[in-house]
Amino acid sequence: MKHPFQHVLLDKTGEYFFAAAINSVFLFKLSGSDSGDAKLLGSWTDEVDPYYTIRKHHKELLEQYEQQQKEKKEREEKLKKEAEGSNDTVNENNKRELVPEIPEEQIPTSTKQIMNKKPKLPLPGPGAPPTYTYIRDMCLSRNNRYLIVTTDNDKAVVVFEIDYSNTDGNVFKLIKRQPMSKRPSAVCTSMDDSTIIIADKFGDVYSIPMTDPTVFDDSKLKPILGHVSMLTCVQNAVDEEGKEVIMTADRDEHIRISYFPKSYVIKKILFGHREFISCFVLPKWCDGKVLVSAGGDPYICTWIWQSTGELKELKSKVSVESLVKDKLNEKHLAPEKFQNEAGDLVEFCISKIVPLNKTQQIAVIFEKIPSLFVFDLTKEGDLTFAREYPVHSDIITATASNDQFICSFDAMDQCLQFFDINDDKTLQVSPHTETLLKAIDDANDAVIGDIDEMIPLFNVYYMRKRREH
Amino acid sequence: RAHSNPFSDHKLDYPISPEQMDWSKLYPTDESADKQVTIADIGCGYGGLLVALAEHFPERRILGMEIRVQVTEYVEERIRALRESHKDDAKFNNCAVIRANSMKFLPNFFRRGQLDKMFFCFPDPHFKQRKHKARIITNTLLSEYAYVLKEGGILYTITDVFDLHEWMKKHLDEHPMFERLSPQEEQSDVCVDIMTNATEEGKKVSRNNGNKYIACYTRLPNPEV
Repeated sequence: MKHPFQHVLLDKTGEYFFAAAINSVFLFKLSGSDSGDAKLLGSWTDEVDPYYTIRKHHKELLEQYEQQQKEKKEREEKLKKEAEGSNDTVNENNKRELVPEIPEEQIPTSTKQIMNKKPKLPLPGPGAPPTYTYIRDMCLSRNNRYLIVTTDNDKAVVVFEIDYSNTDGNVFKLIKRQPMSKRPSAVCTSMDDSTIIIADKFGDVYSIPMTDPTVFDDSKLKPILGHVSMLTCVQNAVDEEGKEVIMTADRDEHIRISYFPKSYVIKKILFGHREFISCFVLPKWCDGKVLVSAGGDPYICTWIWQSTGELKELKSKVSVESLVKDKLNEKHLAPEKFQNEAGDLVEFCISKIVPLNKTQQIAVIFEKIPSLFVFDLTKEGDLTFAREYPVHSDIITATASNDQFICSFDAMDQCLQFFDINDDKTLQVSPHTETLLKAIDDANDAVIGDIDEMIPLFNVYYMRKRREH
Repeated sequence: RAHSNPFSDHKLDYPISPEQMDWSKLYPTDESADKQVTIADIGCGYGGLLVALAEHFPERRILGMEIRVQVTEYVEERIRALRESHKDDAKFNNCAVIRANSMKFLPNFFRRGQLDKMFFCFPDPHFKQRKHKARIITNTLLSEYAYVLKEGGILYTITDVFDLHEWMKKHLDEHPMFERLSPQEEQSDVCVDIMTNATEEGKKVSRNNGNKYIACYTRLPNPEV
């Protein structure tokens, strides 16, 4: 059984298609929608030990333990020597210095725990929850030359230079694999593509150079900015004065805009969401002036983010509740603990927004809803619902180039669908894609035994806050 | 409870944005309705500093922020009682407390450059290395404090934990938007005196003959970006 693609990405030209399934990334060359074929150019599979983090931590503990044993031994020997020497006349110079007594509160407890036993490697036993090893995020540099993926095992950012002309299967030229201390949750590149910006689950943002192969010790990396909340989306942009900024969105409803590289200067914060933000986009046709964001709220926000009036950035909140209300089912029920008395509390969220440059529209994907919703977006940030396109399965993710829109589904039989973006602002299932889909399906070697082995494909709704005490 | 995890999702009441904050509930009898909070006591604890500042700066609005529910309730009660007993001279109408996670939601309450004094008195030391992100002074949070502080505004820190003092100093020294006050400036600042002697924690430390470490920083102008 083939595993569906949890990530899909088309390059700007629409010629190259990246797809990630479990821990593999595939690169296909698409040959126009008429002839409809896909040629696998290459793939990369993350083969780092799934227990990397456990082993790393264990190694640290072991070193600490050995150090402690060594110190203990030295201390004992010293005591022994002192005991032997105590009969001699005391040499004033060897006398130990009197340590002033420190009140208990002041003793930093940061001194590591004393271990009496040799630490064991805590590998999960048979009944333990599964350890996932999959590609979490994928991002192409602005110049299309580099692919950046984030992985699970070592929480790494892996950077490849893409050699599109390579024919012997090795299109992904590994530049480096940079492990991070916390799991990266979003990545992007600086405007000049010289730097990779990494946002993590802990709320911190780091930057590393793109082409320099040096790998840093993750504990030595210093965040360039941070929220005290999981980050969900990061993007660099240029403001009204031509200055580069970093935009970061979090689970606490904030979109923050900081300057780059002087990221310690916060330019502004966009207020308007009441629930987590899962994604935002800066559609091209709005000349970078409009930002569209969504997540756990029953509305989509559009922002004139460059507005100079204090807190005047929010342009509109467009309700989406009526669009999906009758499509909610038992998959959308709130968890039992937070369910209402009638047991019918349903929740929905937007997992992704894909700009359609050709028609100046955005496609909106709701988690676990088998329909695609397309909205018109003007240069002024006015957003209006245009059309709904029902599809055969729940949509995991999607991507678009100028002429083409590709959906990835939670379905074994047909996990992708190609759409043509027409000039009349409609989407139409691309004809003659059988060969193409088969080629992609054949190339996908991410195979699972049965459905239980599937990695979690829908994990945006987990971000909804459950406020307690 | 002595501690509260700043990373968890509490049932907190906070405005969507500073514009939507209704201050009239907190400062019901304070005459000028458009008056803004300019002094914030972050992690105000039992409110000793808060009420001392309120007395010293009758013209200013002061807000204490505290994450622990019961402690916040205690301070609310304390302020209510003070206001009641000072009905004649209308004192303590200029101070209030709110339950808030200021590590997460400070910008929801204050506009850019709104504050001119921020106090961090005897913050939780979070000794464990792994918990250092939970400390109230980190290089990333300092950028947020710089955002709500106006140019020339002052950030005050005091602690009885030497390690934490060194940590706060290190991060503030490294941050390009802050500069330490000179020893003379620190000594002559009346707020330093109040902060050293008015808080419950400060009094406790004095009783135990503990040390108090102070470091105050001014918010520098924004650099050329």
